[in-house]
Order: sequence, then structure tokens, then C-alpha cells
Amino acid sequence: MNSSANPLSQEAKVALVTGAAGGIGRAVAVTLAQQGASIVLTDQETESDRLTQTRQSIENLGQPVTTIFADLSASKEIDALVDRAYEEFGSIDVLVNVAAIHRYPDPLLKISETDWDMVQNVNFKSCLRLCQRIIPNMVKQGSGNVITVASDSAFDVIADEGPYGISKISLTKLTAYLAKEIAGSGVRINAIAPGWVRTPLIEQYWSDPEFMQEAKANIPLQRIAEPEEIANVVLFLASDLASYVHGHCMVVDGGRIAGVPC
Amino acid sequence: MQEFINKVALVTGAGSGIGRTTSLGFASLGAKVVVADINLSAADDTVKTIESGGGQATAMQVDVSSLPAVKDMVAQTVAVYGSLDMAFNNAGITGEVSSIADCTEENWDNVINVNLKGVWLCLKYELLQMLKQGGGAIVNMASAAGLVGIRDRLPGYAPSKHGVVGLTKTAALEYAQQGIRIDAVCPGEIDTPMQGNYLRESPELLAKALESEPIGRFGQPEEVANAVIWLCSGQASFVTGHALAVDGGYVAQ
Repeated sequence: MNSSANPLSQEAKVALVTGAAGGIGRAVAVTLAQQGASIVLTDQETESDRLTQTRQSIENLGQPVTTIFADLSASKEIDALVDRAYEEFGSIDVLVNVAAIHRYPDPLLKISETDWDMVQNVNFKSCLRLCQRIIPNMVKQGSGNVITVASDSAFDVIADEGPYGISKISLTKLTAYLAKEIAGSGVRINAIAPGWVRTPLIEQYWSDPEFMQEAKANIPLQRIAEPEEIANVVLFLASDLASYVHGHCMVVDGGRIAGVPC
Repeated sequence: MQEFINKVALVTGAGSGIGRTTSLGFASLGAKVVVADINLSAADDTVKTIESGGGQATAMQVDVSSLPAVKDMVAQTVAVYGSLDMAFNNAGITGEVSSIADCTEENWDNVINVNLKGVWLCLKYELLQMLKQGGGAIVNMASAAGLVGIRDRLPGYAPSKHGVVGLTKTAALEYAQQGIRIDAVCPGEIDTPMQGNYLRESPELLAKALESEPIGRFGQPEEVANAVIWLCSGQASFVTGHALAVDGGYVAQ
């Protein structure tokens, strides 16, 4: 690492961030923009207000930004999203898969086929589709970065969280397989596994003091993460600092998973 | 990364390879670096390089498998620079090539004493100091061989490195509350003198090693150093107990 150049720089890169209305997605988009990236924000149309807030934060930084609504459970909408992103910016250098749905409680023995398909389509299949559409272009240009947000609950077994946990462990395997498929291309792909993060997705939990007291007891650092702390790890992986990190799932959970069976 | 200015970093095995490169990295970001190595002239050389670039560093001759030596290293660090903020417990050896069945007790003990007991001893005294200061960040040198078995006929190496990963996770759980983050790096095949020592002996192993890297090349010491320094930074504030593979995808495949 050299003090003269900014090793985290994302200048001249275009980043596509899914789930950009939410806690982690917004923090990722803003963090990458702070480092000079142009940003394509995407989320569902129902998240329009919060997506506009994300957009505003990036405009305030003076970085180019565009907003594209897409329902990631529909491949056609993913294709339209990617087409528009390329039309507007010409390339996608960083893909950050953040969008996810979390249902709880959600026992495997009771989930309907419709609900199962919804969870897997949004959390897993959309990432596969985005990778299929975007990685070949990255390979052609000989550079690019894919970072997929899994979860530390991919690794242990949390009661009644099976459909979510399975979708998330699938993402770590997708990352490993793709790392091998694009061997030697100059494109890197990694995952991260956040633990508890102060995001709207799980606000019902962290806003409940009793629940949080118990949760914190299971987190060695004894607090939940701020979205920016997850975004910093995404930035590391997207940067040249992580030039030999490939196919890896980086755990960002305050130490929780280091001490549980998984 | 302004945050390293005037912070104190301790690096063992800092006379060559990844340890040397990480020391140079810390120094270039403004940290004062204790450059520890069993080979004092190698440590001196790292210090000279740092000083010629305008940085601050002190060389120490340390056998990390010796309790009094490690205790003294941390005491000297505090005596010279006043604190200890970051440590990279990097010193390690591969041991002699042998099958497990033919491994001598001496070969086994050497590897375990340097690679595993050495990391524990360093942790022990670093933690005692960091507890006094109310926080710190420590990175232990494990290896891709700390995550999977290897076929390189180095009987103690992977066991010692698996031990480092277990020690890292256990220590992270124990000291997170006190504001000390502890992680490990798990490099794959990195282009260093230590790698050369055993791969040079077998062109076959060398070719196989290169072929086994999904990223399609060996890593450079800078690439591991960058990960170590990042883990020591505030950017990694929620990362503890993690074994970060810096291996071009080797263990993921």
C-alpha cells in the first residue's frame, strides 16, 4: 500500500447496485460514489421514495447516477435493467448484488411453492441472471468486480430461517463456481456474509430492545453493524487492495460465526 | 488511510517476503514499525529501506518460539515507541519435506513451535499490552493450508496453520469485548523466498501450483500486505475472527 495514491479509488468505474433503496444497498452506492464511481441504482418501484433518497445522496456528491426500477424476481425485468444500464453508461465495472427478501418465521416444512420460488428467485436466481448478463462483458474488457451480499446465516442453522439461509449459502457457492469459470480473465468475484446490520429489512428486530439484548449477547463485538461498515468491505473487495482475493466469502459479523457450529 | 500516522505496528518475520512488504506498507502510511526477525541482518535491511523512504522503524532479533524473547519484543516495542496498536504475527517456516510417517520429532516440533506456539506467544504479550491501551488490531499469518489439507509433504505445516485459524477465532471471541479485533490471512501461492524454498525443488509442484490457482497466477507479497493492512484499519471495524483467504480462489474451488 502506498500513501500517495488512493488504493480504494473507484474513479472511472460504473457500479450497478441492486437493493439500492435499502440499508446496505444505499451505503454501498454512496461509498462507491464517494470513491469516484458512477452509479446505477436499482430497486422495486414500490421503494421509489427511498431510492430517490439514495439518488439524492449521490447527486450531492456530484457523481453521475441513474435510477432504474426492476422487479428482480422477473428475468425480463433484469434484462431490461441491464440493457438500460449499458445504454446509459456504456459499461458496468462493478456489480454489487444486495437485493434480498427475508421472511421470518419461514419453516421449510410449511413454505408454499410460490413463496419458495419468490425467495429463491429474488435472493439467488436474480444474481445468477445478472452475472450471466454482465460478467461476459467484464471478461471481454479484462477487468471487473462482482460482490454478492450473502449472510452469515448462510453458515449456521437458525430456526425457521431455512429458505433465506439456503438462498444465501447458494450465493457463496455461486461465487465459488463463477470464480473458477472466469479463471484468469482479470475479473474478480467475491461474496460477503454480514451478520446483524442496522437496516430497514430487519428493523422489526433491532428496534426491539429485548430482542436486541439477546442478539448482542451472541455477537462478540456486542453491537450490530452500521450499513457503512458493510459497505467498507464491499469497497475493499472492489478495490485493488483485494487483487488476490477471488472466490472468497468474507464474513463481516462482529465475530459471531467464529464461535458457532456451522 | 491517514489513521496509521504515528501508530505503532509490530511485524514478525519482517526480514523477508510478506512480512517485509507489510512493514514497508505500514511505514509508508506513517506508522512506526517494529521489524522483528530471527535474522537480524534481514530485519536491519528492512529498517534501512523504511528509513531511506523517510519512515520510522526499529529492528529486533526475535525467535518467536521463545517466550522470553517474545515478552521482551513487546516490552521493547513499548519502551521504544510508547504503545502497540497493530500486530502482524507473520513469522513462519515450512519445515523439512517428509511424509508424515517419516517426519522426525525435531521437524514436527520446529514447525509447531514457530508457526503455532509462536503466534500464541505473540498474541499473549500483544494482548496484555493492548488490554492496557483499551484496544488494537491483530492479524495472524495462517495459510490456505490453514483451511484445507495440502499434498506438499510438509507434515507439520497445514496442522500448524489450521491451529492458527482456530487460535485466531478463539482469541477473537475472547477479546472482542475489549475492543481488540483479531483476524487471520490465508495466502495461497505467493511469490516469496519461502515459497521458492520448497517449490524450487520440484518443477512439477511449481507447475501444479500455478495450474491450481483460479485467478491464473501466483500472488505478490504486496497483495497479502494490502489485505493485512486493510484488516488493521478502521475500514474493517466489524470484521473479527475471520480467516481471509488471499489465495486467488484456491480454497473456494
